[in-house]
Order: sequence, then C-alpha cells, then structure tokens
Amino acid sequence: MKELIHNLFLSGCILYFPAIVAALAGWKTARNLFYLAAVALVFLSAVVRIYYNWPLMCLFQEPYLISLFVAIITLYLYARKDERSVVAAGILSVAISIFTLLFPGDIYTSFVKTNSLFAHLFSVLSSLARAAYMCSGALSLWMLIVGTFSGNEIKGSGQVLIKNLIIAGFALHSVGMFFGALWSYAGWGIPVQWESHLFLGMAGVWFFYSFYLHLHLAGRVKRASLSLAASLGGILVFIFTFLPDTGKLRLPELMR
Amino acid sequence: MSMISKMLHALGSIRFAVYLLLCTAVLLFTGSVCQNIEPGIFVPLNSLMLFDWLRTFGLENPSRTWWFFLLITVLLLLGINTFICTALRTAKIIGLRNHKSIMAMLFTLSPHIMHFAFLILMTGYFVLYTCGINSYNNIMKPGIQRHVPGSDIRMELREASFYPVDHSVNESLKDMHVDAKCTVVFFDGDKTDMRTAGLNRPCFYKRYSIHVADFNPKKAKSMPKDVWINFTIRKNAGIPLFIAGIIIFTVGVLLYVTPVLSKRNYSGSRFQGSRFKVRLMKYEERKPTLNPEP
Repeated sequence: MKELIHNLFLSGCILYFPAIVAALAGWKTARNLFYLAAVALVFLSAVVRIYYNWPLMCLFQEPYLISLFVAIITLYLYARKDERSVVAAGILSVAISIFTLLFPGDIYTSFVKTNSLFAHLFSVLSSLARAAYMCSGALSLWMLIVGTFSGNEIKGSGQVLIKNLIIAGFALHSVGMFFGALWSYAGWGIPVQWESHLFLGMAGVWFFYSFYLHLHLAGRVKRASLSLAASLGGILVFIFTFLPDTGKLRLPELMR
Repeated sequence: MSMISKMLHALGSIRFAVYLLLCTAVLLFTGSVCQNIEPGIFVPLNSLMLFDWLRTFGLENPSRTWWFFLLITVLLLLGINTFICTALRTAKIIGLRNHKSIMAMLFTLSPHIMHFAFLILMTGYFVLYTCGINSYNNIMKPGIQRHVPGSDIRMELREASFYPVDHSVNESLKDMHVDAKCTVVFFDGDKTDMRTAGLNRPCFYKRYSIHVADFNPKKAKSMPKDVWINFTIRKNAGIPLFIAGIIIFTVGVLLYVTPVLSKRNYSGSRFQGSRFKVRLMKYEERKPTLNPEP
C-alpha cells in the first residue's frame, strides 16, 4: 500500500511535465488533459494515504494535501476563466508537488491520539488554508513581476481575488486552529501543544494575515505594497508552515 | 479634544493595531526559530504555570526566551487596542441601527464580534496559564482508588474496555487498540457519581476534567491482566472562556465570510451592506472626532 501511495503521487508529478510542454506549445486541450490526469493521481494518492491509516491520522501528510489543494484552486481559477491567475497558480502547484516529492516526510506510523475527528479536520482545514495563502502569494508575486516588466499597474480585480483568497484562507486557518485546540484539549487537557513544531509558525502566519487584512483598513496603502505583503505572506507560509512537515532530500525511486 | 480622548483614540487606532499585529507576527516567527533550536525549554509550558515558567526556564535562558517576554507585552497592548477599537466602533454602529437591515447590521458587526472573541480567547489563555491544577501520570488500575489532586474527592477506575482496529491493509495497525473507554467513580463525602471517559473524550466532575493520557494493553493480543489507564487531571477556569471565544469567533467568521465570498456586499443590489457602509462613512466624515484615523 505504501508503494501504491508513492507511485500514484510520483505518476501525478511526472504527468505535470507533458502538461507544461503542452502549455508552452499552446496545445490547450493536451495541457488540460495532462493536468487533470495529474491532479486525479495526486488526489488518489491522498485518498489512499488517508485510508491506509484510518481511523488514525497520517503524520506529515500536509505537504501532500497542500499540493492537492493548490492544484484544485488552480482548476477553480481556470473555471473562472482567469487565465493570468491560472498560470501563477499552475506553476505553484507543479513546484509544490515536485518539492514534496523530492523532500518527502514519508512517515506512515501514527499515534493513537490522532483517532479524533478534530485531528482530521485540523489537518484538512489548515492544509486548505495554507494552499489558499500560497496561491495568493504566488498570484501577487506574478502580478508584481508582470507589472514590473510590462509597466502596467496591478489591476483592482487581481487584488480582489488575492484578498478573497486570503480571507478564505484566514477563515479556514482560524477554524482549523480551533479544531486543533479542541483536539489538544480533549487529548491532553490543554489547548496548546508546545511540543508541536508547527504551533508558533501557524500562530505567526495567523497574525501576519491579520496584519494584512487590517492594512486594507488603514487607508492610503498602495496596491504594490499590498501585493508585496501578500507575496511575503506566501513565502512565510512556505518557510514556517510547509517546510517543517517535509523531510530530507531523497531522490524518488522511479517505481517501487 | 481632551488629552484622555486623544490617548484613547491613539491607543485604539487601526494604525497602532497594524504595527502591533506585525510585531506579534515577527515575534512568533522568531519564537518558532528559537523553539526549533532548543525545543526542551518550551515543552515544560505544557505543565507549568506561566509565571513559574518565566521565573525558571524563561529567566535562565534569556537568549532563547527574550521574544516570549516581548510577546506578552505586545499581546497586552494588542488587547488594549482591540478593546478600545471594538468598544468605540460597536457603539458607533449601534448608533446607526435604524438605517440598516439586520443582515447589513450583522455583516458590519462581524469583525467586531471576532475582535470581542479574540479578547475572550486571550483572557482564556491567560487564566489557563495562571491558575488551576495540572496533575500528570495518575496511573490507575481497575478497583484502586486515589485522591483527586487539591480536594478530598476520591476516584476509582472501573470497567476499562479497549477497541482494536480491524485493518486489512496496514499491518502496523492490525489488532492495535485505537480507542479506550472506562468508567470512573467519584466518592465525594457521602455522594457517589459515575462518569465515562475515553481517549480524546474527557469526563468532567466539579470543574475537574479527567483526560486519558495513555493506556495498556496497546494490542488486542497483549496480556489482559496488565490493565491500566494513565489519567491527566486538570481543573481550569480558562477552558469555558476559551470554548466561548472559539464559538463566538467562528460565528463572526461565518457572518463575515459568507457575504464577502458570495460577493453580496460588492454588488449592492442583493445585499445592503455596501449602502449601509456608505452611510456609515458619511456619518464618520460628519463626526471626525469619532474617527481615530487621520
């Protein structure tokens, strides 16, 4: 079963490459087909991973879930016909998946206290929040780069999309952290676990995005500054809440 | 404007909140780095009270804990800022209650509901870390009684049952006990009460919460005679505040997110939030003394 989980994820990552080639060549149908197949394989890998450890929660599964959710957000943006955002989110989804493949936190053992609905909800919601934050970071970074090279100002519609992604991420992050706190209280009797390698990073990200949302209210803040803040947020999310769940560099075996 | 009024508005301004939030984030990221370098310093915070930890681990390792002292100060200022800001703006919104629909009113109040919940959560954390009883490693075998810490109540473990998982694909999980359930009897003077506790399902008795920390046997095929459950016993007034904060914050998030993400407040035609906001802005323009922003 571990081999199946690995092979499905690996196949998904491999299929991203023909999708990139098709995108560069301008073959839209081929690009879409390869990308959809890749996302389906990554999705299957995540489902089998969860099933393999059920009712316990698989430790360090979050990078795989984040890879999947970033890909799903890309599909959502494609459905909205937002071509420019799709490019940025698509690049992010490929990069995050390849990174997860190369630096796997492949630990399949778990501990009995993860047998809690709160634990599963915490993992899924916080992964979804991190995916939304990372997408907003990639989008704003892309807009900054494109804007700098083309000399055009960042459009208001792009800012609204970034802000909405951040609002959705912030709401999911808050509710996810509450589920985490409830799990911690039910299992250990205290809503904070200081053993957790993620706790302070997740709290830091929550306050950073509170800062970002309050920045909108402060007035007289340039769009470029807001984009810079959103880009910085994406980088901080990667460093403090994604990297701790990944492992050391391990070149993937082609098929186990 | 009087000096006190000026100070109040400065302390409750959004600009001040922005700086404080950025400071808090930076300090937490610094803390994350310090915790990764030396996690052993921070793990005792799970069992020690805040001031005991600050006196011992905090002051003995200033190079790793300085950020924590600053964080407490910044959080205190953020609490004051949030309180003043929420109080002033909520009063203003309530003053305009005749000009809006109930949905618009709830949408406009939603950030303040979250701010109010944030204050409750912070108070909950503070109470949690400053007073209460934490007792670990209360290993009990069935039929044996022991005192509940800090009281004359005695407790006894009865009827412990364990639940294995029948996993066909994961060998490491096969026959592993993934859940435990037990009956705890409390003897309080002449009164006897029974409660059921389980893994991740604490039982409560007279403001005490009894949590299953560990248990034996771990596997279905282990020796059935060696049965014990390790309890963590806590008594804490911060938990009800904390739970209340969680619920209120979630309500605030839902009230805010639902119209924003469905674009109802931007269209103006389906939802009156934007029209109400315009009125609120005009009202604020007429009364610049109420507006803390320059």
